[in-house]
Amino acid sequence: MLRYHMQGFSGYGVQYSPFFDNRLAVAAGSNFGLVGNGKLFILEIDRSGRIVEVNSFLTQDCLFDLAWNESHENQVLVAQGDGTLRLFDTTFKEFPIAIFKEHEREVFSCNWNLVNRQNFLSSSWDGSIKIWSPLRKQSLMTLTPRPLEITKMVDPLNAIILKKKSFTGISKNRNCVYQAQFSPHDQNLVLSCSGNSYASLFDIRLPSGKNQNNFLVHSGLEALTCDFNKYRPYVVATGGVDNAIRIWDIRMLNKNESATIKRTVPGQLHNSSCINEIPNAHGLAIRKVTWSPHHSNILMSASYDMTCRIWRDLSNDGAKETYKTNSTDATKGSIFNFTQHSEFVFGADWSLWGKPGYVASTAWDGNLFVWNGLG
Amino acid sequence: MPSVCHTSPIEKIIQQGHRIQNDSLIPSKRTKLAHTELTAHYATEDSHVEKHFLHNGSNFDGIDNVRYQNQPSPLTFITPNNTVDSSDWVPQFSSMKIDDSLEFSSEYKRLYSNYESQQRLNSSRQHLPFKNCMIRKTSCTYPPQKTLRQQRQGNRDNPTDAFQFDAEFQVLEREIQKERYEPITRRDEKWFDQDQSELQRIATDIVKCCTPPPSSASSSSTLSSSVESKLSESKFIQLMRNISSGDVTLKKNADGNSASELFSSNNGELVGNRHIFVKDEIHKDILD
Repeated sequence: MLRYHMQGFSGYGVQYSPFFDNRLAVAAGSNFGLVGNGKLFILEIDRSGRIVEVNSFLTQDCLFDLAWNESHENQVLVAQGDGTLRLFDTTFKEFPIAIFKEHEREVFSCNWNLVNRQNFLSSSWDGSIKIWSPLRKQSLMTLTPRPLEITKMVDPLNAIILKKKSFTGISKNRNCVYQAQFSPHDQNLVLSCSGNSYASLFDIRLPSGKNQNNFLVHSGLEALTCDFNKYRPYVVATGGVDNAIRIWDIRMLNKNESATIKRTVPGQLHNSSCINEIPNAHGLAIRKVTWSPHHSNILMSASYDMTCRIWRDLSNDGAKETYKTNSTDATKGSIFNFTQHSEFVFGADWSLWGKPGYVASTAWDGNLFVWNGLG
Repeated sequence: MPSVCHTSPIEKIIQQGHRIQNDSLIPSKRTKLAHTELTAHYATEDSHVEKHFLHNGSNFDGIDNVRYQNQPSPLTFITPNNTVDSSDWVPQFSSMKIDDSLEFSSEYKRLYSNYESQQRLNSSRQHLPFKNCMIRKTSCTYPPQKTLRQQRQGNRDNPTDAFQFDAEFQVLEREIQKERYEPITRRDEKWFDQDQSELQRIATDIVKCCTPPPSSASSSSTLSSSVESKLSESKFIQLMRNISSGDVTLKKNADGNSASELFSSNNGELVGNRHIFVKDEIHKDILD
């Protein structure tokens, strides 16, 4: 395990470079991101195994997420608390090379398109998702998840059960889009999750009004994270405030009835596209889920309970569907539990290089850890 | 010359005096007791009468004056002598009014009369002030009773006055309440603006969410013991407790609209990292 401490800053996001096997970028904020400066750290792992800082950029406001430019080895995009996105060149000092400003509130996530490598997207607390080109100051497109009446869609039985577990109930940050991701298989598909407990699937080729499909993912509580499976194009995972990880098959989303409640069999999940569930995967809300780039049935999660876990998706054995769920397993499919962090864990990423299983995680304690979850 | 042309003026006067005597209300009864006094009186009167007549004898207007001033005297009595000439003459003189040159003028008499009337009025006023007020309204220094009664009635029935009174009372009441409660507020509460209060509320919610109740059994808690121990030692949770209690809050910038630091509201010291201003600049000509 390797460790690097960012003095005075809390980690919010981490990502391995897609071009260099020993380079990482970390987005951080001071005072736990509540108020104050942000900082982008460019780190490298040297031959002796130490993590060293090769460059850093101080920003006016906190940084919540970052994404490497998939078409330029030295450029990193960051999502900032003042509603802007800034593109930095790691060979330069102090200032960014571009600023993208259209969002009206904090930008919570950003993601670079892995297919065409020419576009990136951002999601914000203002309830919108914007698609950009690094060559233009203005966004190319703005997507807005269709507002839905939460109280009418929530499954009453699940709501009662959740209330007994001392959950606070319906989300108050309904408009906040916590995360948005391009599909690694289709440059025109965008998946997002919001504070209104819905995940939205956008096909940006379709006209507005017909380009999105919404489905309830966390029973009325905030959905905080989502990710596409790297090998199964139609499988996505979500995590939220209900401490659960759910895995969905987007092929089963019915365009006409995706947002309605169906209860044909007692005990059956209210949405038939959910193919697996890891209930109580963590002790507190789940802030990050990310599928492994090396295995089709392994994913990682990071949580407010200060731990990172590696899970095996028991509904698939790597070659075919097994029709099992992790909730029926004694260990819930847990492979590894990383407990070295002492504050909320916000960022986690798999390494594309070296032995499969290496991951990097960062938390509000200011630490960056590099560890192996697959032994 | 005929004898008529030789009659003297004195005789004529005597004749006129006789006629006056007959027409007047002077009693003709004689009184013996006052004889001596009457004699003296006549002597004095004679000398005055003579002087008067002699002084005005050459003027015919004097006759009219004598007639005008002839007034009956209470001391005039008929003499015991019954002589036609002397008896007729003496009473006539005694009954005449003497015009005294030293007497006060009529104007003075009128003014004095007014003065006496005023004195009488003042005296009566002291005894009956209200009566006087009712009679002479113009001289009153205060309105009549009827007017006063009407004013009292108006004070009770006038809604405008009642409203003003109530308004003044309410203002006074508010001032008392403000004075009564203001010191307590200043002692017990810290003045936070909207952002600071919002942060405090959020911090309170976070502390409640992340801190299990002390009375709860370990088996009923949804958090593992390791997570609970981490949360209890968490610096973030400790910061939230301080914000929740009001000891730490946002430090406003000079413009008062935004905050970039945290500070202790007890001693004013900075909490956490100091904010460093970063210019909003870019490296140019990179993307071109």
